[in-house]
This record gives sequence, C-alpha cells and structure tokens, in this order.
Amino acid sequence: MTTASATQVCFEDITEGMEIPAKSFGPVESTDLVRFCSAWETYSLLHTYQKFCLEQGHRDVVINGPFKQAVIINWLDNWAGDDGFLKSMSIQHRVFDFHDDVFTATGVVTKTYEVDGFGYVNIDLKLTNQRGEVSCPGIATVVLPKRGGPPAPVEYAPPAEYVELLQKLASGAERIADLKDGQGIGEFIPEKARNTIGMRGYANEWPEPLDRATIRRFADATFEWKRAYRDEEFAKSRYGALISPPLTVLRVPINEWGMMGESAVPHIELAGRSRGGGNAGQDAEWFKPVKLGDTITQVAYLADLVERTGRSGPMVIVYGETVYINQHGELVAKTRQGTLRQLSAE
Amino acid sequence: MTEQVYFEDVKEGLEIPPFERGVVQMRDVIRFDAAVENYERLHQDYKWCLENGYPDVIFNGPIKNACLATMLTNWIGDGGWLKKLGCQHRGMDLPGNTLTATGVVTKTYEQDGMGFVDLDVKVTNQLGEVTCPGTATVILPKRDGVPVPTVFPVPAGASA
Repeated sequence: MTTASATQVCFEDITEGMEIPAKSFGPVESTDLVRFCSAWETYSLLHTYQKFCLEQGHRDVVINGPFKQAVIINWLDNWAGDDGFLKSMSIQHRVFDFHDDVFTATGVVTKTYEVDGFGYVNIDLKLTNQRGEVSCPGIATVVLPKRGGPPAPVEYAPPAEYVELLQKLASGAERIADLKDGQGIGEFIPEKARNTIGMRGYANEWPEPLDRATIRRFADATFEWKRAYRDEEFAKSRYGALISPPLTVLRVPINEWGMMGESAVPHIELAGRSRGGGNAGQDAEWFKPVKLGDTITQVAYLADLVERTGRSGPMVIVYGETVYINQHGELVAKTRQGTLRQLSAE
Repeated sequence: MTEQVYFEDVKEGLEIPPFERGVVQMRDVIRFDAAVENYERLHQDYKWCLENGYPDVIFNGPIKNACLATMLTNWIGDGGWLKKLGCQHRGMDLPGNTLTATGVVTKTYEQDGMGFVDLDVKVTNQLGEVTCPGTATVILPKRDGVPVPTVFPVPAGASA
C-alpha cells in the first residue's frame, strides 16, 4: 500500500478552529446544469428550462439541490486528497440559487479525534452564493491519514444500528421501524399518515452495472479530476477498480422515483392544501466507494414526518431513509432525505 | 416485433409506416442532448437563445435524424439493414413542436443478390413545415433468400 504523498493533507496538519481552504464554483452555466442533469438522470424543467422557470415565477433556472451537494463533495473530497476519505456529510437546502450564480464552499474544523489509528476531522461547512446567502449549511466528517502512515481505509463496517436496519429491510417485513411516542404529531398529519412512519417504501435496482461512461460523465458533471475517478491504473491499485465520485451512489434512477427520496417512501396523504415543496436536504454517510461494475439496490422507508411553521407558513418535512447495497450485499451508503411539503389549512 | 417486410412486398410509390415522434418537449431535448453529450447553448439555454435572436431553444438536428432512422429501422425489422441515410436541416424546431417522420419508396433494385430500396424521407412538424427532408437506402431480405449481411465492404475510392 502506498503511503501519503508530499502534498497529501495529514491529520497532524489539522487543528480545531482551522479553516479549510475555500473553493469557488461558477458562474454556473446552463450547460453545467444540463451536464449535471444528464449524469444525475433527472430532466426536470425547473432545473433546465428558463422559459418554464419564468412562467413559474422564478427569476431564472433553479439550480438543483444535488448539484450543490456535488460541489460541496467536490471541495471536501479534493481537500481530503487521494489518501483521505469523505465519511459523511449533512447539508440543508435553505435558498434557491439560479443560473449564473457563483458558489463558494467554506469550512471550519470543529473537532479532531482518532479512531483505529486514523485521524477523524469534523467540519462545519457552508456553501454561500455571490449575494452572500448561505444556500447550504452543513457538517461533514473526513478521515485523514497520519503522516507516514497508510491511506485512510476505503471500507468501513456499518455500525450496529445499521446492521439491524439492513436485516429488517432484507427480511421483507413491511414495518422497518417502530412508531415512537410523540412522532408524527401535527395538524396536517392525519392518523393514517402517522401510522405510515416506519413502513417500507420501494426498492430499486440500477438497471445496469456502473460503466466507464457513466463514471466519466459523472466526473465531468461534478468538475472532478481526482485520480480515483479518472486514472484506472491508480484506482485499481487503491480500490481494486475505477471508482465514481461519492454522489454517484445516491443517484436517483429516472422514472422510478420522483423528487429525491420522498417517492421512494410509501405514499402518504397529508391534510390541507399543497402550496408546493422542495428538497430540504440530505444526510449522507459512505461506507465504501461505488466501483466500476457495481449494481446498487436502493431500499427506503418512511423515517419521520415533522410539522413545522416556516417563513412561508406551515409545512411537513417528509424524512425517508435509504440504504444503498451493492451486488455483494454490502452497505455502500446510507442517506436520510428531507422533502418539504408546504401546506395551508384550506 | 412486427412481421418482417420482404423485398418482394415493396413497390415504387409505397408509403412506409410513419413514425409519430409526437410532441417534443424541452425535457426530451435535454434528454437527447445528454444522450449525445452535446452541451451547446443553442440546444438548452433559453436565455442565450433569446439574446441571440432565436425564438426559443432550438432542437439539435440529430433529434430529427433519429426520427428518420427510427422510422426506417422499425419498418425494415430485424432482417433488414439501414444502409444509407442523408438528410438536410431546413428549418428550426422548438420545444412543443410535433414531429412526424414519413417515407415513400422511389426505387427498388437488386444488387449482389440483395434487395435494395431507395426512399424519399422527411420530418414534418405540426405547422406542415418539412424541416428535415432526406433520402435513404435500405436492404430487405428476399423471400427464401439468404439473410441480409450486417458487414459490407468499403467501396473502392471511399476514404476510411
């Protein structure tokens, strides 16, 4: 196994309170959005067609949440270097961003600690647009090598609570998690919807194994030049195969799930009138890279329904949890996706 | 799969089954751009198109080539071979346009024991504008004949 290169950031270089070097993306052009939609395989007019967006009252094409997730991942993953590993990232989507916007990703180290001889770094992060609005606040954990030590592991065992979740999902049971006291209580959440919390959603298997073209297109779409995604010889030596950027595994298969996450969970009827919706954010955790030839099966359940009153009025946040399993039955990633449903009483 | 059409069934003047592509929305244009990895503004950036004097996003031409090819390969079936397809892009199509591909046989002839069929083909939009006229040559199997080959020698003089 190769050891860290001279330019590799090492755990010893990191102190709490330290700023991660900022990185800017953009102006985000329509071609960037189309390229991303192509890699992500969603072709929503909201993220591609200005005419439609203007008709809907937006000032321009709306940048999709996963695009912002992708640039944050690009920034952290490249900072972690060839020998680091992006372990987890949680972000929220707070504002709309538009065609021609410029993003800057910034972060501060909040905690450093060691696990099994490797350096763990917790980061508070944000993605800010040129208007100074924080589009995505979030947190992340990156694993770094220690100076002179081996690269960060590329495979992580799932924690005990996920093992249980995986067993439940594999068992075929309809109820994946118990409904807890106080969960899903709200004016807009009927009893039937509340009782759906914890129930299994749809499983979806990728229609074909991950191929080189898809990896290249994903790397192109996410401005990614890291060797692991471009240089097959290097990737083979480190991972056993060419790998794809971390967001790839979270890709939504077209024509199966609609808005990220929510339509993977069982259908729920909320009370009141719909005023719209959106992507609230996603917590993602990775256990291994997705590799050339992998076929991922995604299985989801409805994890929670949370009623809140936002700036624009009442809303219910629908939380779906999804596990991403490869063809060997191994957990590759797990996410918790929030989808906003804005409501009114009549 | 539809029944195989044979060379003996085809006469000059025959209209082949049209391919109704239907209404092509922006979503379809983007999906096509993605499939062919064409990221030109003309085919996806509405604002840029307006600024440059176009009325809307313009379809990329190969969407129409693809309509013609789909019509022909649907017609010739598993046993036929699309040998040549040439077309011109004569007009712009915009999101919301309805495209229909049609074709008529202009000549049938035998060559090297195979059945060749020449056609006039075109894509017409809902305004009646022929935005993509062209010509094609297909090879059809003959009844009780040998299968149509799928590999053809490069003619003398053609550059590789």
